[in-house]
Amino acid sequence: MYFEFGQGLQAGLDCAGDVTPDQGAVFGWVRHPADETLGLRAEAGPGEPVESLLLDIHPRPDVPAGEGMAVSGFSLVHAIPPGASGRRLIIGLSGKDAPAEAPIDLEAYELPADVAGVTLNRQWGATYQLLHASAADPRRIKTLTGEGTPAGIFGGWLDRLPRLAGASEWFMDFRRVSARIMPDGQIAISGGFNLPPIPGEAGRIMACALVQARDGGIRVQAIGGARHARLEGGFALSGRVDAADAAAVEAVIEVRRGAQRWWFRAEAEPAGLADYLDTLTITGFDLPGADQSVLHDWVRQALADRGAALRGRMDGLGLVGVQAPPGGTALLFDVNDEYAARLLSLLAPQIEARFDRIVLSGSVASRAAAALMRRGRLEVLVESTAESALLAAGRQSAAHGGALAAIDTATLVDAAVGGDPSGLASNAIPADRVPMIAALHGMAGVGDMESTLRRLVALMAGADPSALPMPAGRADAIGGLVTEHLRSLWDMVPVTGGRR
Amino acid sequence: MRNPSVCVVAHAHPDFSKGGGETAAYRQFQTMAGEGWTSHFVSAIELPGGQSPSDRGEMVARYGEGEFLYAVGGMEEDRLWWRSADERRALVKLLAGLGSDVYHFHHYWRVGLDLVAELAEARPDARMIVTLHEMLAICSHHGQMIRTRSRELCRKETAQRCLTCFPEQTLERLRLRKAMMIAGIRRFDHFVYPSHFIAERYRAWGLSPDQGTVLENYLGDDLLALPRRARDSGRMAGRFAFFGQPTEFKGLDVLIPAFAIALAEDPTLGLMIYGATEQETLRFFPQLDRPIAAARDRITFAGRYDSSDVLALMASVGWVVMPSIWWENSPVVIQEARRAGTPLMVSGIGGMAEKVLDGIDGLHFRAGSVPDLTRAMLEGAVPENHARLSSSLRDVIGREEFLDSLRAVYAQDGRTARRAA
Repeated sequence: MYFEFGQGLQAGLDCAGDVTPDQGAVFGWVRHPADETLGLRAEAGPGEPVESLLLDIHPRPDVPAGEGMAVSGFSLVHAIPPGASGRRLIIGLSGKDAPAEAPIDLEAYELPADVAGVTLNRQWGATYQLLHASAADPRRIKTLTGEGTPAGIFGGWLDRLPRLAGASEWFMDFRRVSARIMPDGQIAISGGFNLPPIPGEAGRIMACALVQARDGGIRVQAIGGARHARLEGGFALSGRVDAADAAAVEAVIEVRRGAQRWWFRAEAEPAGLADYLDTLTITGFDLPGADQSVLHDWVRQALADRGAALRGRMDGLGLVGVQAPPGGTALLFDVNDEYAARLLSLLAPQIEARFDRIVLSGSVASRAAAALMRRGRLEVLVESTAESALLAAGRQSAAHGGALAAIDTATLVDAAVGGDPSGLASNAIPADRVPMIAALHGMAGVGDMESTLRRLVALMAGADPSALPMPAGRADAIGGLVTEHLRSLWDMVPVTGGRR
Repeated sequence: MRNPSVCVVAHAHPDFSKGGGETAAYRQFQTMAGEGWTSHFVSAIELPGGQSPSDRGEMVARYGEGEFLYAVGGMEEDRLWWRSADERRALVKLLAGLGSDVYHFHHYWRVGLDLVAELAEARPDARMIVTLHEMLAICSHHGQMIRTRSRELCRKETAQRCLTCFPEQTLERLRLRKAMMIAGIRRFDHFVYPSHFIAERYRAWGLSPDQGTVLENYLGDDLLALPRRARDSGRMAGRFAFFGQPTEFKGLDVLIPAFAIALAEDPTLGLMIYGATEQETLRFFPQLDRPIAAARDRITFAGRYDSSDVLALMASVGWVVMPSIWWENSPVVIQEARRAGTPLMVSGIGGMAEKVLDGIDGLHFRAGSVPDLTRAMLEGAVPENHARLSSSLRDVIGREEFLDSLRAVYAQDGRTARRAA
C-alpha cells in the first residue's frame, strides 16, 4: 500500500502483522532524499514508543528512486506490549534540514498481516537479511520461532531455496562448491564463480546455520566467529556452529558479487580435518592471480584463529606411553600388506606372551586375524577402519582394565629385525586416555586415522617431530600454511614414551 | 652314543630337478641312512597342472623307503607361505608324526616360513636346523645380490638400496619382507652354511653367528669312492671346460671371448662347453657369434651331460673354468672338479674365491674381465703351472668329517632359550 507525504517522502508497506502475540513485523520501503538518513520505529499509540527489536535496511531495486532520491527497503520487528491499543509506524528523516517524522497508523488500513505469507514472496535478499539478522539473536527476535512452524516465518521460504548436498563440482553459477563441518562444529563453505571475473569486484558470502537436532527439532542459528574471504573468483567462509545435538546442519547462504545475488542451502558434510581444510582453502579450484594473496592472508588468519581456539584443548591431550603390563590390548591399525599379516603370524608367540587381546584393522586384517584365531590364544577383533579399531580397542582396554598398546607396522618390523619383541609393549596408554587420541585426530589429524596413529606411535618412540611426514597436500604457499598449522597443533600436545 | 633321528626337508627331489640344494640334501639323507641313522627325506614337488603326487589326491605321497613327496599347490605364489592352512597342517602333522629328533631343512622356499614356525611349536623338543644354500631371504633379485639395473655385484643389503633395484616397491614393503624373512628364519635353532661367504652375508643381514656352522656340502659316497687320477699336464694344460647352464650370470659371455683371444696366441688350446648347445648359447648371447666363429673347431658345444658322468668328463680336461659374474655361494661344480682332481679357474669373488684358493686349487681372475681371464688361460696352459696346481689341489670334505660335523650341529643345546618369547 502506497503512502505519500509530499515530494520528499513516500512509502510502500508490504505487510504489518504479528509474528507472535508479543512481537510484530512491518515490511516495506521508503523513498526519501538521498542525502538524508532514514529512521523507523513503531509505537503502540501517539507518544507510546515500543521497542524496536530489529531494523534491517536493504536495497529495493524494484522501486524507482528518482532524481536525488533513494529507496530503502526495510524489515522492522518490534515488541507488542501487553494491552497495546494500536500500532503505528514512525518514519523519520534527519539530515541537512530539521528532523521530520511521518506516522502511519497501521491499523487504519487493510495492510497484509500474514507475515509468513509475505515473507514467502518478498524479494529474497530482504528475506535473507532478515533471516540472517534474526539468527544472530533468536532468543530476542521471534521471527524464527513464531508461526508455530520450524524456522518461524521463514519456513516456507527456506523450502524454496536451491539445495546442495555436501559438495558439488557444478552448482548454480559456481564451481567446486562445498560445505563441510567437523565434529566440533567448525564449518567451512567455499566455491568458485563459474563466471568471468569482474576486476575489483569481490564476492561476499554470508551464512547462517539450519540445525536439525537429533530430537527432530529445527532451529536457525548464527555461525559463530564467521569470517569470509573477499575474493574476485570465489567465496569462502569459516566459523563455528554450536550444534552438539545436531543430526544434520545446513548452511543457508547468500553469495553476492556486484549486483548479483545467489541464495541456497548447503547440507554441511560431516568431515575430517583434511576435507575441512580442503574446503577452507578452496583446494581444487584455480582462483585468479589477484585472489592468491587475499586467500593466503585469509587462510593464515583463519588457521591462526583455529589454532588459538584449540590451544587449551590440545594442551590437555598429553599422551604418555608406558610399558604395558601383561594382559593388555594391542591395536594393530595398519595391517595393509600381506607381508605384515605373515609377520604378525610369525610373531604370534611373542604377542600372545604380552597381550590378552588384539584389535586389527587394515586391508589384510582379516587374513592376519584368521591365523591368530586358529591359534586360539588371543581374543581377536577385526575392525574395518583404524577409527573403529581405536574405538573397539578403547572399549576392550576399558572393560578389562588394561592398557592399550598401539603398534604400527614399523614397530612390528623393528621387533622382528632387531629380534627384540619387548618394543611391542613399550608404549601403551591407559584406557581412559584412548578417547584423547580420537580427539587429537579430529583436531590435528595428519590425513586418515592410520596416519595420525603412526605419527603418535613414532612420537612416543622418540622420533623427531620435525622429521615426521605431514600429509602431502597442495604444493603452494597455502599448502605450506596448512602444514605449519598442523605442526603447530602437534607441538602443543605433550607426547612422550619409551624409545624404540 | 645314539645318532639322532633326522628328517631332511627339501624344496625339491633330485629325481625331478638337479639343483645344488636338493642334491646336497638328498646326498645327506642317503649318507645318514647308509650310516644307519633313522632318516627321512620329505621334499616338495610341483607336478603338471598342480596335480597331487598321490593317486588318491592327498597332498603327501610316499616315495620310496623313508621318502615322501608333498604338493605345493596350496602355497602362495611366492612359495614362501601356505595359502591353505589345512594343507600346511597336514604336512606339519606328517612331519611331527615322524618323531624325528632333528628336522633339517634345506631351503625355506617351497617349504614355507609358516610351516617352519608351526612345526617348531608342534615339536618344541626337536631341533630345527636349516642349511642356507642361497640368499633369497636377503635379496629379492632371486637371492643373487646383483643389482637389477647395472648388473653390478651388490655387497650390502639395505632397504634403501633394495628400493633402487625395485623402484616399484616401497621402503615399507621391503622392510616388511626382511622382517618376515628374518622372523621366519629365526625359528630355526641353528643355521648351516655351505660357505663362509654366505655365512658372512647372513651375519651381516642379522642372523647370530653363534647359531651358525659352516659345513661344506657332501658330494656323496659314490663320487667319493671314485679314484683321483694323476694329470698329464703336458697333454691337458691347454684344455679347458665349462660345466653349467648358459644363463645370464654364468659368464659364458666372458669365457668365450677370452678363449678366442687366448687362442689367437696359442692355437693349441681347446674349450669344451658342457650343459649348453651352441644354439642355446647364442640365444642368450647373440654377440658371441663372432668369437665362436673365430674359435672354429677349437670350441666344442657338448650339450647336456649326465650328472653321473661329471667326474669322468672333468677328468678328461685340464681345467674347469667357472666365469660366473655373480657370487656363487658354494658351487657343486667346484667340488666336483676338486674331487676329479682337475684344477679350476674361477672369478675371484664370493663362494668361488673361497672354495678355490688362488695358487693352490687353481687360478683366480677378475670377475667379468675378458682380458684377465685370457691372461689366466694362457698362464694355466703352461704345463708346469698346471702340474703344480694339480698337485696342490685339495679334495672335498670326507664322509666321516661331514657326519661328525652334523652330529656336532645336532647335539648343540640351547634351543629352548632361543625359542622362548
